[in-house]
Amino acid sequence: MANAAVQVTTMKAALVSAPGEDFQIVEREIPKTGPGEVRIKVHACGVCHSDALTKEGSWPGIQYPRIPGHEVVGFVDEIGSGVSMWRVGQRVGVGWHGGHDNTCCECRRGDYRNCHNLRIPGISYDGGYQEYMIAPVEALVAVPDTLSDVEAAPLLCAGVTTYNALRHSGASPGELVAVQGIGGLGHLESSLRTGSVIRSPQSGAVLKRPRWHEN
Amino acid sequence: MYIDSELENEAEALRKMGGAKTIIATAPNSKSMSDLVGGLGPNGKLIVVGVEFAAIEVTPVQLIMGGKSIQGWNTGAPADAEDTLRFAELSGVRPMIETYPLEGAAEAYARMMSGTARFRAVIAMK
Repeated sequence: MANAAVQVTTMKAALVSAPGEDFQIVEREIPKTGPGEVRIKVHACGVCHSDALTKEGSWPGIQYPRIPGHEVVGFVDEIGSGVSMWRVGQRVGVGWHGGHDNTCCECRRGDYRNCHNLRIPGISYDGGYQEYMIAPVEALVAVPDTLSDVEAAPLLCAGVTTYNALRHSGASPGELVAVQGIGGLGHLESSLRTGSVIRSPQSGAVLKRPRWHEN
Repeated sequence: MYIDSELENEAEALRKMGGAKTIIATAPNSKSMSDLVGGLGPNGKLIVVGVEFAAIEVTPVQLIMGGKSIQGWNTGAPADAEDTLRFAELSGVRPMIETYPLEGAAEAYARMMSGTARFRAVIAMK
């Protein structure tokens, strides 16, 4: 029998087998969706400093092997049962906020960011350093067509962090806003029309490594 | 306006401009964050987003005089991320990126950790 229609069942992933280990590129079964989940065909994933929490094991309770990545952009490629608001082919992303329980006292107040059972891609479950990823629906972000995959991805953690911090800061137009550090976050923050940028001095150890900012 | 903290005292430079209403500290460097409290203006706020485990040092007097505050901030909910994407659409703000294939994840990570990425490393699938 001809095998022209053989379905692809495996994918590539960059995983961390144990804290401090090097990345391994592995071939894996493409994961399947459960209830309330979608599968994302990943197009791009930003590399955030917080990926070190997974890579170096400094976040408690991570189960290894684990695939990092929480700045994910792609499209919905499979829908789990009970999912009605999203459709296959839709452009989506997932950031640091990778799921909330909708039942804790913070969620009941609408403060999903501080959910007691917040889940984080790449920490609580496998993230975006893989060709297909499973995400719970409440974590999904609709991505507009005008932004490319690789440009949208960093906006889902570095971008929302800087934008959200600034817009909640209380600073009004015309007031002096300074940004310390010019790295993955700082270069975005400074492009939000802020007043001044500060180059930070050489830092001490951060997860035993230096900083995001310019050398 | 650009302040190079290796050439001048950043808090003093900010004070000369009247002090900052908001300082957003992105580089994970607690010493730098501690120093920057001195650059806040009246009712100014230092917002910490750079992840670091060392202590920020500040005296009560530094905060009381001028009613200053230090606040942490952690990303946002998916709806905030959608606002961010829309803001990027409207304003034209885009990240500056370097792309790597999935097989280059280790290299991308090393660039990010060494602080040499300009400015965000992004894995782009084929």
